[in-house]
Order: sequence, then C-alpha cells, then structure tokens
Amino acid sequence: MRSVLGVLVVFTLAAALGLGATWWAVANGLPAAGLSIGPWRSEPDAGTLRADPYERAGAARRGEAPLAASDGLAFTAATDDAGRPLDAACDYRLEGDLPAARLWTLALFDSAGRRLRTDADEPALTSANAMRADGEPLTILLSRNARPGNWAALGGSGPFLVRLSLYDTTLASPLDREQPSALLTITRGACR
Amino acid sequence: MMRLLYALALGLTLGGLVHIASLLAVPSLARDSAYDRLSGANADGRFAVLADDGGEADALPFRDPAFVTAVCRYDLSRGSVTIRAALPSTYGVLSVHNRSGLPFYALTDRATTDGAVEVTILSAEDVAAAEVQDPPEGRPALRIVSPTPTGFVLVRLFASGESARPGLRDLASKASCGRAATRTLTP
Repeated sequence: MRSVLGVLVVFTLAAALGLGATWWAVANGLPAAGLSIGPWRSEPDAGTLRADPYERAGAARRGEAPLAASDGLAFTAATDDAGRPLDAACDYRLEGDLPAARLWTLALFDSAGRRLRTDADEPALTSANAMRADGEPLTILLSRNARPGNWAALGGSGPFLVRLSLYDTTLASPLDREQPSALLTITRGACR
Repeated sequence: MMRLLYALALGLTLGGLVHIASLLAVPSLARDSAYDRLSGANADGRFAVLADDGGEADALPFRDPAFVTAVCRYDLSRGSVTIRAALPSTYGVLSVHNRSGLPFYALTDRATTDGAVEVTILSAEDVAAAEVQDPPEGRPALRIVSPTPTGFVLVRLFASGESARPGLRDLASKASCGRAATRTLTP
C-alpha cells in the first residue's frame, strides 16, 4: 500500500514539475536566451531554422509570425532603463542612435500584442516620417498629449510594450550580436 | 530517508522528461497559433489584405502597423503552390511561415526580377517529381520545401505614409497564390 502511494506521489511531482516548467518557459521565455540590449530584448534565432524548441513553442503560443532573419529584427521593451514597467500614464523619452538598417519602425502594443488605440493618424513612427536634427541623436517622445518633434501617442491605461523593428539590418548576424551597440535609452518623465 | 531521496530523484528525472516531451508538443497542440488566427481572413488559396482597423488589425499579434500585410494560407496535400507577388522598392518582403508561425524562407524587394518574385512551395514528397519537371527554358524557378504540409505566406509592403496605403493594398491583393502550373517536358 505504501509503495503504491509513493509511486503516485512521485508521478504527481513529476507531472507538476514538468508541466509547470513548460508553462512558465513558454509564457515568459528563457531569461538567458536571446539578445538583450539595455531594456530591449529580441530573439534573433526565432526567424531562422535554428530556432530552439523554446522559441518554437513560444511563437506558437503567442500566435505571432516572427520576422525572418533576412527580413529584419524586432526588439521589444517592457521596462524603462531603470527597470520600471512602462505605464501609459507616464511620459517617456527615447534617445540614441540606431544600428545600420535600411528602415526602422517603432510601434506601441499592449502586453497581448494588440495595437494601442490612439487618436494619432500615423499608426507608427518610421524612418520615413521621423525627424532627425543634424548632428543630434534621434529623439522620440511617448506621451498621451501632443509633443513637438517625433511623438508617438500613448493610449489606454496600464502597461504597454514598445517594439522597435530594424529591417535589412546586419545586427541579425552572429558577428554583430557579439558586440551589440546601444539602442535607444528609455527615460521616464512625468506621470499623471 | 534513503527512500525519500530516491523518490525525490525519480520525481525530478521524470519531471524533466515530462518537461521536454510537453515542450516539443506545444507547437502541434497550440490552438491559437498564427495559422489558426488567420482562419477568419478568408485567405485559403488566395491573398487577403488584413484590415488596419477593427479586430482584424490584431489578428497577428505584434504585426508592424507601418506595413500593409496580405496573407495566404496554403495546403500542400493537393499539390504544390506557386506564389507570385510584386514588391515595390520602398521595401517589400515575401515570407513563408510553417504551421506554427516560424518563417523558413523570405525574399525582399532586392531579389525581384521585373519588380516581382515567384516562389513554388513543395511538400517533401513532391520534390523528386519537381526535379524531373525542370522548365526547359526561361528563368530558373525558385523552389522551397515546406517543413509542414500547411502554412502561410505573408506579403508585407512598407507604407511610408498614410497616402501610400490604398495603392499598396491594391498591389498586395493582386499577389497570386495558387496551384503550380504543371510543366510538361518537351522532347
């Protein structure tokens, strides 16, 4: 009787551990995997046949169609530089230089990947519509209220994600990944 | 005490096996993969341009809103499929994704001839037959093998401004996604 109970306990423990680890890893991604530059995170291998089982499972679970490696590389930021989660009630200032790419776009999403509903006409800031002052780094302001310069409108409330996509960039190559240059810094301004 | 440690070690080992097995099964068990999400787009065997407002704008999570996106779902069980799409030089890309959404092939507008790209997607079983049916003339056909019998193709065209969207939507909807024309060998 005792051995039957023991077997049951062992099997329950195994199922709970195994399925729990799968659930957690698929929902959150492996902390050590991928490419991290400041608050920006990316999974360059998800766009290639080298994708590991964790990246495959994560893509299937999120229902996302990742960018192919030869197409581009998408970075997602969920926090500012200080590690605080991005909140739609605050203003943010993104500043810095971008790696060489033919094209970049910056778009805002909620945590499920839906677009942030805003009143802005343009759905995304891109290298085609952004302003760049001579000799100055690129500056982008995220706010609920209109701002001069490159402004991306925030909408809704609560946490949101910033996705920076670089198209036709060499950053996806393993060589460049070894020494990633800095991407945009994210500084929090006033909160309402 | 030894018995407890033994049970614990056994539980950990079995747990590791359960983890690996369930992780590998996730792509085939996921009910909400990109392929399933696109079932409402009426894009089986033809290209449909995804709307930029309403629920369809979010059919694919994290889809770049700066692009006009057209999608076609393919099923290779009834033969290979040929994709032909015009990609403007403002930046356009054709990417082929497997059943779980991962891309396995992509062509940008840099690879176009006469402004368009043409790719034939084959299942693993049809490759040998296709090798025999090489076209006697004309430019070499691009052939790729899909790792899964079903999947989808995205044609994404960059819109540099709102005014460019109607024209790009029109262009993207003209991309074709149909049965490959059977080529016959000429003696």
